[in-house]
Amino acid sequence: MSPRKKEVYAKLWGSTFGHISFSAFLIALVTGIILVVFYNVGDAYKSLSLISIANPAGLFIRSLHYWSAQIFLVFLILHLWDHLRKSTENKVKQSVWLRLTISLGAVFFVMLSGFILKADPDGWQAKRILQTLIEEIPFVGNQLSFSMLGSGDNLQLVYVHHIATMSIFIWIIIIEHAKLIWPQLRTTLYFLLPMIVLSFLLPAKLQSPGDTIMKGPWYFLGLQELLHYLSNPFWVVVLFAIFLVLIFLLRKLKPLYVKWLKLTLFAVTVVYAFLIIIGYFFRGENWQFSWPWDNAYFSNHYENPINNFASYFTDFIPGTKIPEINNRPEGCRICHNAVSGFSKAHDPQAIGCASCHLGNTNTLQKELAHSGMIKIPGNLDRAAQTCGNINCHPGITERVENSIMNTMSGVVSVNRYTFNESDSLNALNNIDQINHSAADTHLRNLCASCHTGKIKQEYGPIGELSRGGGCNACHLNYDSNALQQLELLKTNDGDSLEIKYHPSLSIKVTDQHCFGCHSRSGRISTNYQGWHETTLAAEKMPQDTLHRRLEDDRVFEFISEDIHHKRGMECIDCHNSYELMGDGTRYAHQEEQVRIQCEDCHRAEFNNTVQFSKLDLESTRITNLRGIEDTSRVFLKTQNGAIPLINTLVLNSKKAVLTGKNSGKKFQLNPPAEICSRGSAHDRLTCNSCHSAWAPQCIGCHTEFVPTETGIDHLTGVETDGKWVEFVGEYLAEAPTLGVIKTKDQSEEKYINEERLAESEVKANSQEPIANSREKIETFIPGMVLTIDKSKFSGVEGDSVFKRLFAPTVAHTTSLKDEVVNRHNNPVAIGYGRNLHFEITGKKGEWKFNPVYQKMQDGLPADAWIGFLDSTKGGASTRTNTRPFSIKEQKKILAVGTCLTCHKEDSKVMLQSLDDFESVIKRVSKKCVMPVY
Amino acid sequence: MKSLRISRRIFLKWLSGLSGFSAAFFWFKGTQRTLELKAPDIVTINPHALNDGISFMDSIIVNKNQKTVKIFSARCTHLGCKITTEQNGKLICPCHGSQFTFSGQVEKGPAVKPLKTLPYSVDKNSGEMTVYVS
Repeated sequence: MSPRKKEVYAKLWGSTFGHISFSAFLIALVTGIILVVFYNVGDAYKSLSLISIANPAGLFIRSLHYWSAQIFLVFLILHLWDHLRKSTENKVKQSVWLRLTISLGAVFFVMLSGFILKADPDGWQAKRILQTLIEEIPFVGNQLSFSMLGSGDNLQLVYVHHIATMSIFIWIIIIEHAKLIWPQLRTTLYFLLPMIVLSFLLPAKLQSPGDTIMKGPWYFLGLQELLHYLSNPFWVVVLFAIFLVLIFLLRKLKPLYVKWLKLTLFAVTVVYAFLIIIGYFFRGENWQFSWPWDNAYFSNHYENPINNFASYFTDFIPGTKIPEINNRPEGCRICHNAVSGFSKAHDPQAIGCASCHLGNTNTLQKELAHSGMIKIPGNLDRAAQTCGNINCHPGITERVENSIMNTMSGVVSVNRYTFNESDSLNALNNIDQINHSAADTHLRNLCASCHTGKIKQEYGPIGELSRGGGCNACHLNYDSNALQQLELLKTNDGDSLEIKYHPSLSIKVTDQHCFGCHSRSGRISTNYQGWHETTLAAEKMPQDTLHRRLEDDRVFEFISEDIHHKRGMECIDCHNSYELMGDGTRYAHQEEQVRIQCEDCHRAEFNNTVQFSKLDLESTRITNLRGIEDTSRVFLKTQNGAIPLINTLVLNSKKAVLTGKNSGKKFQLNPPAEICSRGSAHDRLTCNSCHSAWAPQCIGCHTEFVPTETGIDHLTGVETDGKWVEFVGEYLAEAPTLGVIKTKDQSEEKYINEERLAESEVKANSQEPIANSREKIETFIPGMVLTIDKSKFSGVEGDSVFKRLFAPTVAHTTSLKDEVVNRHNNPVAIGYGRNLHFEITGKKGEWKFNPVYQKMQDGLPADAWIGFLDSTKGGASTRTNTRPFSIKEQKKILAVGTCLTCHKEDSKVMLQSLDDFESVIKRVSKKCVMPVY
Repeated sequence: MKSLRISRRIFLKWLSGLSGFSAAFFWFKGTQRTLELKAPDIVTINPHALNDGISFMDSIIVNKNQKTVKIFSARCTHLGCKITTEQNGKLICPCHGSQFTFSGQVEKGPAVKPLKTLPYSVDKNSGEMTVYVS
């Protein structure tokens, strides 16, 4: 080449692009030869991981190999562009041009095979894609794919072609067209320098096993973006073939066509570069569009060059054993060593740290190791990568996300219905997706923190003030050691290296886990323990054992605890995994997800059993974790849903025992009393109807928006201008109201066991039914008897709503049979409100109702659900499948109530009336006075 | 008999063409036979040891629903990436974002074909299933 002609080529630091590219190729070749010593193709990922963690020299060589290869490719493209620009492609013979064209394919293969040989998640996916693309080539696709890439999980052929076949071919082609065997020493040395700097500041990366964002090498991101739109990958093969043919045609076509062709190629390159930018900066997990600042790819991969440089100088003590998880080295425990406190299943010896906490497992440099780390795993927003990753509990996190404790579907529907914003009580909602209407803002201000999806952001145990936390909400346990370490963590400025004791994640779900959320609304946690909320101010609380102040300053008084609590049972002794984590189905209301019924344990004959060998897998695993090993054991199962109750033990058809899951205490399971099961009079009653000693009831509530106060949006944690405030009239702890739940629609069919249904239908036909037998009597409380003043929210004067909605509830205040007070002449139970009495004038008896509370807008007193023997007022509920008692039913209840004003409940005549009330009534004595309406 | 005279150049051209063709032939046949000789890719699973719902088991995805078991290849039908994610009741391919329902049907492209349902045989004694991946 004459010096004059040389001038036409573009140059950088005095070297042409071709020379730079050749120099980079040589450096890649030399570093590659050194790298083969550290690299083990049989265990590729592990060998590279060990290099990254504890072999700085190896890391440097690998990084130099990486950067030289990238620079080789970049300058090769510039070299091609430079020649096309100057039309100097004609200087080589046509046969050489053909080989040069083919060598472009070889260059891409050698680059991509290098990416594949990392054998990290990205690398394997790249191999699968390349394999599929080559297989698309007609006739020889399969053979070619196998010849170049080998079979699925083997990298041997890729390795051979990377280090030998393709590299040698490329070198020969370089020699042939450049007529040089070695690159210029000067160029090589000049360009070695920036490569060294790059290698130190941005070392070659290796994905951690838990990385979920799959991106190819940068030069193929345009292709990946293109493939996102192309359903048929065959077109990519065709496009690549066309590209090579067009390059080849540059030496064949007439100059005018060549000019147009070059312009086209240039335009294609610009478009492709644009696609690379989209793919690199704007694509995140599952190739979804994402802004760079929201993109986990950058938060996980952007690494400060100073930290990268520091990663070459970490204090690794030779001889230290590098922990391995599934044959994958994990650097975390080299620093965080000897940490204990874990439950057996979560022992880091087995699952490491990154299975839960993510981060970069392939470095000992603190900041790099912690990039992309999750400090508090288990929150549902990232559960798919942590607890729910495919090796651990993928199905369960999916269930939890759909479960009612996360969606709060019913809360959202009922609230919107109450605010007159929706007609549907059964829509499937998700609290995380609510809007900013008056109703939804009300939830955001007051209720939206109580769901499992609420993000736990601070370390610490689950307590009265805790909300959400995903899996942590139920499974996180701090023992005294962990609490001590928590204090240390708070005081030593968060240096977790000194933490040697980790809280455990276990199946020990205690009442304390439930308490925070369930001490609100229906208040079943506080009810269960016997505590009833008062309107007392915290500072005015009497200092005695009958009062209790919660951490949120609400004051409770002791009424009476649930007998199960008194005996030492906890929430999970009745409630099982399918109820707490859901069964995967999204339900509209909580009672649809609850399967356990009192009758599952309290029955005359234990015929609802399941053998150990027939347990479903989840139950089997839980029995194992709870140390139940007797394989001949027989368990009870729920009638609704046939869920095994793994803490029960059936000894014979008349005797069964329940064991406390956490306490290990044994409880004899008693049959229902005679009054419950004799005859068919009480067939429709749930046990709660009579055994709920009391349920918290709120009278005279008022809700309004106060624009001058600052509230909190509990979904976002952001302060809001104005907030919804609730004003309480009076809290009462009395027997709940009774009403009827219909089991007509499909979702309700699940609720009642088919066999029982058929049985009660037969009985209903043989006697006069009180009502449709596909109904049962359940307990209700005045869920919403309130006025909502929306005027200050909407700005419309007089914009207010009055609602009287009763809600079905299970109060969890079960009393023993001796403590049950009859409901027949209890006006609250029937739904009238307070103050009913039977008045006898001469021989005439009459039920008289004199309301205690003032009448409200609908003409009923504040504590009523329905009018006294008046079907025109009240009766609305928070469910579509419920109703209050009909007039006929009320009269029947009151008829028995009349008898009970004189006769004792367990008297002979009353027990006889259970068999056939009508025949007993026919033989009343002259002393008896029956009511007249 | 008339002697056949061809130039050395032509002869060498033919010879190299023939050699190239032979090499290609032997490569094709040899590779094909190697592929045929390859042991089929088999995975053995115990369905009783699986939770209801989706289980990812390396190259296969099992959808167990109480008594029914459906087994899919984890290969995305678009470009062969391994499907490793389940979100909002969908199987999602991490490479190009194709989504499939739990019954293997395409919910969202670029994939157009449903996931490949894999054949299996069941051992009556142990209840174990042998899945034929390829």
